[in-house]
Amino acid sequence: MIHTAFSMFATVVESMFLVYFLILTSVMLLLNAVAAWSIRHYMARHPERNLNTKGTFSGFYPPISVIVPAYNEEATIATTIRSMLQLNYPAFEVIVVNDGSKDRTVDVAIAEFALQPFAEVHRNRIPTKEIRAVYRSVRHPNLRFIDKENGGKADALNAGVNASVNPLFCGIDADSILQQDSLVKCVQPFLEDRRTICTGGTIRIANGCEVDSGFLTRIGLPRSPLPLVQVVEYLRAFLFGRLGWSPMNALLIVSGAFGIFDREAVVKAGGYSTGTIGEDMELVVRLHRTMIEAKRPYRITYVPDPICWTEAPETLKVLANQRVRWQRGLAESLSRHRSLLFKRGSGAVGWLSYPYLLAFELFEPLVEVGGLLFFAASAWLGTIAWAEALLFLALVLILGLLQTVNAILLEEISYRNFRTLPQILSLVSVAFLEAFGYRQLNTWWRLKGLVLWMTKRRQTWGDMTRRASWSTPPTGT
Amino acid sequence: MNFLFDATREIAVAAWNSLPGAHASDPPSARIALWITFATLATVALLMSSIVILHLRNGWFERRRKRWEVRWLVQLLDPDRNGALARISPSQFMSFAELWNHIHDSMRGDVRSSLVQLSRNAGAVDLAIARLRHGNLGERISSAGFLGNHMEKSVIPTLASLASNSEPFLSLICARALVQIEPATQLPRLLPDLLGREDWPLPMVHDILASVDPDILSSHMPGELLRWAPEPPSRALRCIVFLHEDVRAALIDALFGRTPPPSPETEAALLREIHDPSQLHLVRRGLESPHWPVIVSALNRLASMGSREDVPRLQELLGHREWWVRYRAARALVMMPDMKPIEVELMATRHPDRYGREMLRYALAERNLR
Repeated sequence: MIHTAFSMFATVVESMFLVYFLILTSVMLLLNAVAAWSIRHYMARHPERNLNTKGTFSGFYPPISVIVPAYNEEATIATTIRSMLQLNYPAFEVIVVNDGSKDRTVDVAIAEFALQPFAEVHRNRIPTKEIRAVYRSVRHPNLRFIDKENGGKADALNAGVNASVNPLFCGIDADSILQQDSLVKCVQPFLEDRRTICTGGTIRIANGCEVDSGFLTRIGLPRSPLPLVQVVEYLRAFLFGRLGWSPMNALLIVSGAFGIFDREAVVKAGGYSTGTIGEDMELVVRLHRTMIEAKRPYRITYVPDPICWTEAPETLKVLANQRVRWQRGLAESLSRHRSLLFKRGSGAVGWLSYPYLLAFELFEPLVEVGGLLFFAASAWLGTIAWAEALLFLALVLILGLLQTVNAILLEEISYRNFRTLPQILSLVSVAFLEAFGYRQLNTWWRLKGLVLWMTKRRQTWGDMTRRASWSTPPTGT
Repeated sequence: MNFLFDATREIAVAAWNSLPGAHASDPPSARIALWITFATLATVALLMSSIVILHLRNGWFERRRKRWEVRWLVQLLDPDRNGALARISPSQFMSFAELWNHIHDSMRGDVRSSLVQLSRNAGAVDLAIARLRHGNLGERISSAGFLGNHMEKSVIPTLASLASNSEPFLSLICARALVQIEPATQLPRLLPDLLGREDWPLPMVHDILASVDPDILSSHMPGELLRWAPEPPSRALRCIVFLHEDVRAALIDALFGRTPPPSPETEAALLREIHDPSQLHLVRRGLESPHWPVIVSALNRLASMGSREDVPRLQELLGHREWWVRYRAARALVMMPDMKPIEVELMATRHPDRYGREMLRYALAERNLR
């Protein structure tokens, strides 16, 4: 009796899994196709990237305020600021916001850049925690340093937005490593389309690369397996995930590590939200919602050029914390702006990317764990069709591999950052191996994030010890 | 073909039957799934081989290009001494044009004509003409720049038609090439686009205008700007900096004197271009504007042209409701040549308005950092 009931139940569940899988696969293949078209189109539309026209044409670039929130960054702050100051851009200022660090971040910055207290008057258009002091550098006229009470990363970014005087601002993580032309590349959509209110660039993993004075000098692959898997993950996420959504103006995630925003649009939307753990995604979703509700034409664009390199977690504990946080941030952002879902006039955001993120990113861990439990139960009751089950697992594995290989192909067609054949082959082998162990761990962390969000338990950012193995130690420390 | 199909089917059937628990009577959906798996696997294999082939091919192209560049570089850097170049082949042209343009842009004087002669003798100009007419976007851009640097008159009709193209980078490079080849005849034709096309970045336009003789510009640009109805765009007014000073002052007077009077945007743009002390009255009139961007423009000019008689009005503006006006008024007071630092510091302690005092302290702190 139980056996028959389970068989009927199993038929229904199997059909549901199959439908879910078919939709997910179709959307992913479609996104792959759009991404391949986008990158070809982008390369063809920007032939000047490969032409030797530097110096002759500097272009008309709007001034940008680069905002760097810093919390306990004494090991990397000097290198970070130095690299920001060397950016190749005609008009920019760097605003470093110390968010009540408990270490010597302020002292290191003061000593390294000859900072002096400065009687600055600026408008607090977005409420923030109290500003303790504002400093300016006597050596670098475009460097300002704001020391404020601790209020979180979002609060620090808001303080930077208040202090900025330029029409565009760029939010950067203190551990980001930029390329000299990062701003020039990422600002292009603002020049090409006046409706642009936000652009995000490609983030890559810096572990294993060589960095000199805050700039990347040689691209390499990390030796330890954990960051290596993340290289593949980032390639996949950026080169097909975001690139696929961008042409439809349905990009819902711009990484907090590097993004350029229209200051007025952000101020009108209320700035970064301090009550969420994924403030970068929440802001982008809110910008979409604000513009859709105001019925104003706008563009949020992704720039496929790799422009920002970041340090990936090297231990399971830190990685777990990061992934739990990301999943929670995703849940918070989507739930806060649930009115976007299938909203009339919301276009591809409300009808495609939001439902996709909801079904295949947010709730995917539930489906995956549910599938594994169902598999175990079927095996225990002896109702499993082993041939179909094995086939299904093989197909999932190969489809995952297909996505990664496609991302590597796009990389080879476009930017060719990985110069040697062994590098490419090791990426392909990692893509194959990640399905055994890493993928399941990741699902577990994401499920944990989802449960934490559902039970409304607080989570802090956690500590990520910056190894900064590439950076030269700041003087005066 | 049938043999291949049969063989694949047999492999699929054998693979299916080898799976634990599989039966020959299993539903067709399971076999379809197996086919999909095979197809996906084949796609993965195809993509992986494409990656390897592409990687090897790109590496080979790059090594070849570097070999060529090393050879050309020696000759291009000293064209008078190192003799003639070997004939450039079509496959070499793009690499050659990019290197040649780069070296040409970084050299000055007679050596440029030697460079031109060297590439002409190597047949590169004919290749450039062909690429300009039939190449892709990147090839057209490189060729247009290359032919402009060669002052090649035979391509003027092609360049003229491409200069009106909707692609901004290509059209602008073609416009620059035309101005390089025949400035006196091409500039009047291109001026409406140079001043008006919003997709042409202004600094690039400035680069082109700066390369033209001011006499030519002064005889054509004022007429073009005055013809604009109802008024020229503010980006066009930012180009009058290349005119002779007297021509510019007369043009500003003419634009201020038109009826209806200029819009606030145009007024602010015109005030930015005033450098003649005889037009100081226009700047002072700008301070009374109800539009704060106009006041800010006037204050910027007063910072370098103002005198003591402007101080009372500037002090009043320190209490203006708009932050930018307060800031620029404070900066004008700090930067005005007539004002002594001690006077401004005193003002910063005695000004009746709290915001005005704060702003003066801010401007003083900024000056002290310089």
